[in-house]
Amino acid sequence: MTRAYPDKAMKKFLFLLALPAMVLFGSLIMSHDQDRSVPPPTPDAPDTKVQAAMPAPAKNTLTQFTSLWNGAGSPETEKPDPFDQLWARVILPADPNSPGDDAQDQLRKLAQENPYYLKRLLMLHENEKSAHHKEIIRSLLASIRSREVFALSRQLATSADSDQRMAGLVMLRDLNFNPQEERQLIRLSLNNDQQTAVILQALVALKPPAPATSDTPASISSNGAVNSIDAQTSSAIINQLQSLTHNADPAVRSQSVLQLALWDKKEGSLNYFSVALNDPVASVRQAAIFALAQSGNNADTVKQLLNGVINNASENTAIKTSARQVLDVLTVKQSSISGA
Amino acid sequence: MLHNTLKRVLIAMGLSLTAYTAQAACLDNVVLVHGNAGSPSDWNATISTLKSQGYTDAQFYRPNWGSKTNPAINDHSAANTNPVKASMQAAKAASCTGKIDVIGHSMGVTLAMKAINELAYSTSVNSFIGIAGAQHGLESCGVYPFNVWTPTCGSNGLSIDSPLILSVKNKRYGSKMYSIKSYIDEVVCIGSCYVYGSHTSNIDGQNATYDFALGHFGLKDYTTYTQASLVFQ
Repeated sequence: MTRAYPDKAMKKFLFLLALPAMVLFGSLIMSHDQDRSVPPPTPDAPDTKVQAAMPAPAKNTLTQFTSLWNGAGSPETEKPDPFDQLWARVILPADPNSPGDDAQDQLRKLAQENPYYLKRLLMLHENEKSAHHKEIIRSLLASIRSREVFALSRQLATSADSDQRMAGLVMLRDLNFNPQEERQLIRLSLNNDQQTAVILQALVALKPPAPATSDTPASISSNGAVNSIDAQTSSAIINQLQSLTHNADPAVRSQSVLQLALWDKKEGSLNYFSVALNDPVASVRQAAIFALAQSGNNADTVKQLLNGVINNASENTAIKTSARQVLDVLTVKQSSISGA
Repeated sequence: MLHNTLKRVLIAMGLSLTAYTAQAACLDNVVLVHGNAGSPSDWNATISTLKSQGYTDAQFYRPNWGSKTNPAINDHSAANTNPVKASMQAAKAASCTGKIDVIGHSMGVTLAMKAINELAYSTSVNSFIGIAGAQHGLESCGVYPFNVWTPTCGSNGLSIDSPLILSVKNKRYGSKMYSIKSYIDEVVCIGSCYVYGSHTSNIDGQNATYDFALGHFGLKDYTTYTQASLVFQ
């Protein structure tokens, strides 16, 4: 008898204690499901084309009930779609005196968190007429690693239109969703494209394997999921880059020499660097100096090549200074290794 | 029996509370400013490393500025500084510590410096990390106002002694300032890495500088563990 009262009180206490936890747990489950599958209400979206293609907004969602609970009013008076509001702010002409808030970043986060808004962004890109607005949308999309975004970049990179191919390559540079297929697409451009601007963009988009000088802890870098490039692909890319070092355009020659240094860590490309050091265009010779330094080759051949530049009476002062600095770095690096 | 149940419930609630607190760790929000012709996704590697160390997506602010296809027209004008300022304001407003950390790459370093100056945010920034920046200008741009052909190198750009460069020198950009640089940087070191005897990627008054034998973009992508350790300083 004496224990009956405390037990009852305990039950009541436990019930009261558990109630908020149950409510919180229930709302978490429901909001999780909602994020995954149900688009939020979009009553004021101005783009009817986009609206028509989207699934119908869900009624009686948890958001509506919690809005009612918070005194936000009925579903008819709820706030306009954040997507439209943010996009309107993104394309608003900038006021130099008022930075305002970062609508682009908010829109990117919205699309990143909710697949429904990601689809809206993709459709907006399809329907948008302004090239500038399209570029903004693509730069937002490129930070969202998803199959749909990758599909768009593939579609653009293989387009017949060179501007679209450029845009697709910029996205491929940024995306890192499917590295193997991305490399294949970039290789296609390097192989087949005739336009200098597109080739240059493809060279920039090509992501080299992580260098030995990366600060990634050995325990993490050793699993190498992102950086796994099979020997055949690697060799094919090196061959392509070597061939591009002979391209008629000096910018392509410079970029391919720099990329080659990041891909070929053996001494197989030293000949190509040597040729580039004697290129008639100064910017290519300058690129070759950095390429030699970045190739990781510490061989005497590299030093001989750099000394050749320094002692070349007809070479300009800026290039000689650069060669001297790089040679100093290589010498210090080698002496610190031998001293260690 | 009932006491045991109560104990279990309390322990479970305590654990949930601990887990919730751990998930929502109070860290400075981080503003990541990309370089010339770059984009917010340039920071994917940094973000991935920071996330592995407790950060969440909501704590990153990545302003998007400038043309992606024509780097020569990008300078430090209001049109390009404003998105950076907006990000810093948003990051600070949402920061649970009241402070932010700022990481810039290349021209993003000087753009972030200009934004911090204009907002008077130097006391709101905990760590300022400049990767492959050019606080002292670029040898390849020449000395202002001679032979300065592009906006990137112009009065609002990176030519040595340009009004922009003079405005960002010798100032504080945070409680702690760090630079990450290379002597084989193919963008910053064209001709020479040095401007008036100092590597241009050094930051006046910096607490420390970290040298890597990496190229201009490798410095951003392959030093993410160093960047993360500096954010946590």
